[in-house]
Amino acid sequence: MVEPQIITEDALVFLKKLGESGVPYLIIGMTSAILQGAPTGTKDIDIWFKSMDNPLLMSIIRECGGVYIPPAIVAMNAPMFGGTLTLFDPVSNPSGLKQFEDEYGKAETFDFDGIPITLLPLDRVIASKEASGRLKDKAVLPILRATLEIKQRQK
Amino acid sequence: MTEAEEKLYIEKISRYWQIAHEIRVQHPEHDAGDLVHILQCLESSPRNRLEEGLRFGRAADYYRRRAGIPEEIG
Repeated sequence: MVEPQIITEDALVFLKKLGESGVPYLIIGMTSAILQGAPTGTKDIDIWFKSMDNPLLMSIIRECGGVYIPPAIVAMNAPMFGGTLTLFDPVSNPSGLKQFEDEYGKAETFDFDGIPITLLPLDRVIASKEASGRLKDKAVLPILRATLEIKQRQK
Repeated sequence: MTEAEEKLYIEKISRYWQIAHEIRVQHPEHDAGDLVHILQCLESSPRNRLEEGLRFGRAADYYRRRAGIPEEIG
């Protein structure tokens, strides 16, 4: 039996189109840490946009077969993506980080299968996990700090 | 693995452990095993790293739910 592709073609096209369009975004959280070498896990790809109120972003989401589900007071849902883009989790207020522009200015461009993507640097992922205070975030701090140590030695 | 490949692999892992112990001299707060895993992880492509991370994260989430452990903790 062929194992289903975990990183879908739609997800790759989405990242490619975001880069080509110049829509500012940051891959944050554990996905950013994993791509930078932390051997740990994540359920989805946390992605932070400067603003969701961006017609170009909405058109890219639709072109890729995705749906943006805005946060709603009645349903009490967090913002999310549906359709073909459920792998991504749009985050609106990440813990412990500065304004989007400040963090974006320090972002690292990373080659992902030939697609340039923008990542939150590992030290900022650590700052975010430290600030969240959740047990599951505290639990990953040792491995993230150890990864940062190796990254700094490899520079 | 051929005998030659096995020898190279063992040499590489031994080198990783050596690096890990060197780091621990200055930073005893890090776990040597974690450091070795990170060095091994850095060998694989970013796509492989993320695929592994997503598989691991989703499996962990499945077993967390099955065990009734709140998401806050797991």
